[in-house]
Amino acid sequence: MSRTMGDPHISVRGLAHSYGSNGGATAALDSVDLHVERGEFVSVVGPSGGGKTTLLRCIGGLIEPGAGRIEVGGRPAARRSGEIGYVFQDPSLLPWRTVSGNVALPLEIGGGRADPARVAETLDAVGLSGFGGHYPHQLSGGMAQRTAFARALAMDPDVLLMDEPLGALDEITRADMSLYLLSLWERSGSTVVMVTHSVPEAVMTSDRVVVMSSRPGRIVGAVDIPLQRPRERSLEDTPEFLACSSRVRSLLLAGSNNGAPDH
Amino acid sequence: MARPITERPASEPFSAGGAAPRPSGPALRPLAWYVLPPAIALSLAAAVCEAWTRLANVPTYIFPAPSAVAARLAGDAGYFAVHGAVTVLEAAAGFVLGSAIAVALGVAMSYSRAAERTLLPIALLVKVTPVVAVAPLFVIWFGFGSGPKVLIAALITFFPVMVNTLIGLRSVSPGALDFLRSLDASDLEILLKLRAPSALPYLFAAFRIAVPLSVIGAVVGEWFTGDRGLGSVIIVAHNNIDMPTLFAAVVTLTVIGVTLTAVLAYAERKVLFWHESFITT
Repeated sequence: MSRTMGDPHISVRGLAHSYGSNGGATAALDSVDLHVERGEFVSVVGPSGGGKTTLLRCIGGLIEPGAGRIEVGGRPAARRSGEIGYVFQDPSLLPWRTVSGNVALPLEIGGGRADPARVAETLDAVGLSGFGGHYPHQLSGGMAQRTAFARALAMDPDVLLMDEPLGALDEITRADMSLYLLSLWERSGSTVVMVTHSVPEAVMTSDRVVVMSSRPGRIVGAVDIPLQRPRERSLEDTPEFLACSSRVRSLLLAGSNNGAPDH
Repeated sequence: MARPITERPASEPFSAGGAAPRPSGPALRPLAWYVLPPAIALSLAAAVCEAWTRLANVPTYIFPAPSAVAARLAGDAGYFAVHGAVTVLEAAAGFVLGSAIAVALGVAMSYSRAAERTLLPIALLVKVTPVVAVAPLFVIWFGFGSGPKVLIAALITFFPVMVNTLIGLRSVSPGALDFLRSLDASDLEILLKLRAPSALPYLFAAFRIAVPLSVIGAVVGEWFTGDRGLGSVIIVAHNNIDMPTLFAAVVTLTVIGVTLTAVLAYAERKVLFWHESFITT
């Protein structure tokens, strides 16, 4: 393990994965190492098609990686109910279930019965109390995504994996929601890995921003974000914020030029 | 799926019972709005037929006057109601039997490509074989009672329901499937909580085809044997060149078809209230 800190919560070593088969295989990930501490908020940025989503899906157990080891909480990353909460770019709510029913869904898996109080509490946390009886088609995009957050948080997961969770929202909603997301995370204490296209969003939310190159996806470098918490919108104009953003951008540039960074 | 983005600042929680952006469910218009235009058109057509049969002296055994058909229906309403009920019950039993087998096989095929490759071609064979051709066989095998009629109705119902079940079970939102997988949901949980509800719109689309087909199946069965049901009424009337009775039986079948279709449409609207096709924007 290259990092000197204690046991990482999420540990990815030598991860490689290709799509397709035989002659037509496309390497999505190559020799990716990533270690995330317990309670850390890590963002992964990189060009489109750079394997960020593949990395996240491997950690979440949705893809069996071609090579490498992934451990979550010291155990091999197989799918484990209740430990990982997943948020996708599309809320992917079940349209025949109410908001409450959607949030209750993860609690029902494994033969359990959803505790209505727990559901109400989770809805309250994302600011949707009073909307439990609504159906997804009655929600705005932002409210639907909040429901998706509530659904992921319902089991109080140790690990929250988010794949461009704000990507489907407009700019203004998006900025509000990123701070909102942070306040949810601060209360939950989960370990977060978030994939995003937005450098300001990554810097604003994260303890560390990991930059990936494309085809095959490799980790170009990482930037620690030493900004104070809780984060506020006004931070965006501080020299520290801008310095972090520019370091992330230069890594992105290095990654897109030759995939062989000098970092 | 375009959604209006009407988001409040994140720090500001929504008040309880806040107004939904959209009203729930589609607005229903008064029945007359749906029924009157075709009713007027049909009445006009009947009036034209009436005038034609009278003015041109069309013999009743060629084309009975609508008034004669109406008189036959009204004068012996119980007769047509009883035979209509027989046909409806046979069709309904066949529909339920055929749909149950179709759904079961659809579920099996959705799990196993081997099952699909085995069963789908056989189902296609059954489908392309004209049901009228096997109906006499069924009579020999299953006798003169309701059995063959129910089986023919089941046979004709089976294929559309099975194919749509299979397609519907596979047409799930990839994101919702990923979410359930990330929860380590079992295949059975994914079937019950995601695949089955996702298949419902496809199933109703199949029912819209299968319900009228099941009536056809029952009538075809009745042509070959038995003395009950509208199919046998039609055959007997035909042999006696009793056109008013034949037409009255056909009109009864039309009324049955319209009623069943309306009931199905109502059920679909109630069950699929969440589906895109029923959400008014």
